[in-house]
Amino acid sequence: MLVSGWGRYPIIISKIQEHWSVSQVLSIIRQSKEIIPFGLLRSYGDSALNNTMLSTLSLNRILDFRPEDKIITCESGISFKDLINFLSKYGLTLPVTPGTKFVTIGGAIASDIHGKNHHIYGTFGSFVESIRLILADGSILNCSKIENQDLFNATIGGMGLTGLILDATIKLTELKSPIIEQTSIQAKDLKHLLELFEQNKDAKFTVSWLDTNTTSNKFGRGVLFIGKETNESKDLLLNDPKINIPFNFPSKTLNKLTVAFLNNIYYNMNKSGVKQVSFDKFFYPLDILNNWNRGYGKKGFIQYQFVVPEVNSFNVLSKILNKMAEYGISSFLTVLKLMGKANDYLLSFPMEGYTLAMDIPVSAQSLDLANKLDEIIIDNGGRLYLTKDARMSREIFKKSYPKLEKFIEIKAKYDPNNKFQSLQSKRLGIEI
Amino acid sequence: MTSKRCLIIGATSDIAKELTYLFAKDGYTLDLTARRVEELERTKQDLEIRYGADVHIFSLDIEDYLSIEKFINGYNQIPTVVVFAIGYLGNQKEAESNWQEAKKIIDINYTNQIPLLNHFANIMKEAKQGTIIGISSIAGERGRKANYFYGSAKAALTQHLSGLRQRLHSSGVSVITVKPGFIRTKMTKNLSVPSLFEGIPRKVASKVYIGYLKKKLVIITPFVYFPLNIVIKLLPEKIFRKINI
Repeated sequence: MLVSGWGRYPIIISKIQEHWSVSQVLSIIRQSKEIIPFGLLRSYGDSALNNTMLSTLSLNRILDFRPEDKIITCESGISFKDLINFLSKYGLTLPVTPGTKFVTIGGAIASDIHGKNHHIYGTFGSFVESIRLILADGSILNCSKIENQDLFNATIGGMGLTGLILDATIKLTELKSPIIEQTSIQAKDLKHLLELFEQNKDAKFTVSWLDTNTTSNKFGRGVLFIGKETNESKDLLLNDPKINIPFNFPSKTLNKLTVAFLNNIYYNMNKSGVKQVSFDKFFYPLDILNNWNRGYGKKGFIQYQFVVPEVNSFNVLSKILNKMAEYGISSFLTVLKLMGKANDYLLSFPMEGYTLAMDIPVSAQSLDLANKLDEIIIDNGGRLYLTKDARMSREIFKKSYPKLEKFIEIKAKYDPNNKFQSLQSKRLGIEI
Repeated sequence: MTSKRCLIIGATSDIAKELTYLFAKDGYTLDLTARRVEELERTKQDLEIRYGADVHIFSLDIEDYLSIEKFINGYNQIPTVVVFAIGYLGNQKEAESNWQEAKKIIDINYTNQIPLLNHFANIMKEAKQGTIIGISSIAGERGRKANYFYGSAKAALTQHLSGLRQRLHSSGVSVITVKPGFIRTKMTKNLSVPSLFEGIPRKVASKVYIGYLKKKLVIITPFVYFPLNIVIKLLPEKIFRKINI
């Protein structure tokens, strides 16, 4: 079967293993030589791909729920959409959510995802109390901060390379209201945008859009979005996409000119001001379009996301934007955010500093640009997000993830035959 | 009967699992059977948490007659609806030379369901109410080289349900035959199926549920199979024997 991540690059032929019971999952894992678990395939590159892949989607049950203690245990294939809708009836929600509700709990843990509240809450992984993990030999092991801590630290953010997450226990937070008060502030240039982030460090949700096309006096202009929970009481119901993109757009649809045009419109549409928006719209603006990734054509795109330390971040981000201008490549859906502190999970991405995510159509030129950007990021102590990556080199990876050796040591202990592998882990040399 | 009660035989199959949720949402008390009860325990938890459903689990191994007998003797209910969701595609190639495999296919898909069908037909007839839903297959419409052991057993089941429907009609008991086309379930996971023809278990289950509410007699799903089914049934053997489907 043909399969790809969300960026539709690379596309591979894979044997997809499906199942309808835990005992089948165990036997598939026992019998496989090499396998990677996958859920809704919203990671962009090749981190959930391999020649044999094991779906977690039928593992979608809630096993224990204690609303008074704000805690839930559920299987790994349940989606954020499903879970958030369920929890809202009890005035509860997941403490951290990414930019799409079409991800699974297992994927969120394996990617140690972050959200618009990272600077205050940290990653999703910091709310995971415990995990029951299916190991390579088919045994099930409980891990948490107290029990098998080494495995716990490797599994959160571990890209599915330690085993298959059967179920997990997660700490929840109160859902104050499904209505978010969104304040937009236009920033005239990059310097201004970074200042706005500094000034709004206490706001619960912050994120910004950045215009990669601008030069000279408007260089790095953008819009900061601040979200604040209101007290409006209303039912929360997350919806399925309303509009479907039924086919691949021609690969040249999003080119330098159209992107500049769209960026200009976007900037001018988002005047400074305050308005009330729904939970769905605030957290998942793109989920309204089904298959929006087809907009980049059949060659696909890479989402280039990196983080660089806060010190010197203005200079680094400027260098990045200049390098892109030099190549004549720009990005439409560009997101900049100030992140909070890093955590103890071995392959977790976030660190205190700025993260920038750009969507770039795949071409020989854009892949070359990405290599150049890698150098700038590594030289400045930053790193790339594995969940987005489809092309980074081993050298760049090893330089930027200092806890890799420790990770491999733990993987060797629990997966001695290197059963859990993805195309990404092979490319990056995450093996014993 | 004071409350609505649904018995699902073979509740771990994926169509059955989806059906379980539809009945639970609608307030049915659920009796679920499977060989692997630990799997049902997880589903039970979920149904209780999500819908506050009342769920009972029974161990039943359809390959084992003693297990069937034990279940029938221990189950003292007259359900509002009983769903037969048992199927085993088996290995056609192996069945061509190995009687054990051939027998297993025939037993699971037809023979061993008969004591259960008889039992529920009789008690429902006496109670003058109830519905029997049998999940057969489009494969039972015509024997194909790819799966004629499975297909012939399902054909027998389809004919059995048809006869049962006639017999129970005057007693007010409904019999519904479901004929799913190729769907991505555990039975067809190793076959490659053109994508247009792929149904999804959830869609099939909701068709079955809607069919049940509308008191349909036969449900063919996905809908694309409906005209295809007619064509396949009408093709003369002289032509049919040569085509490669």
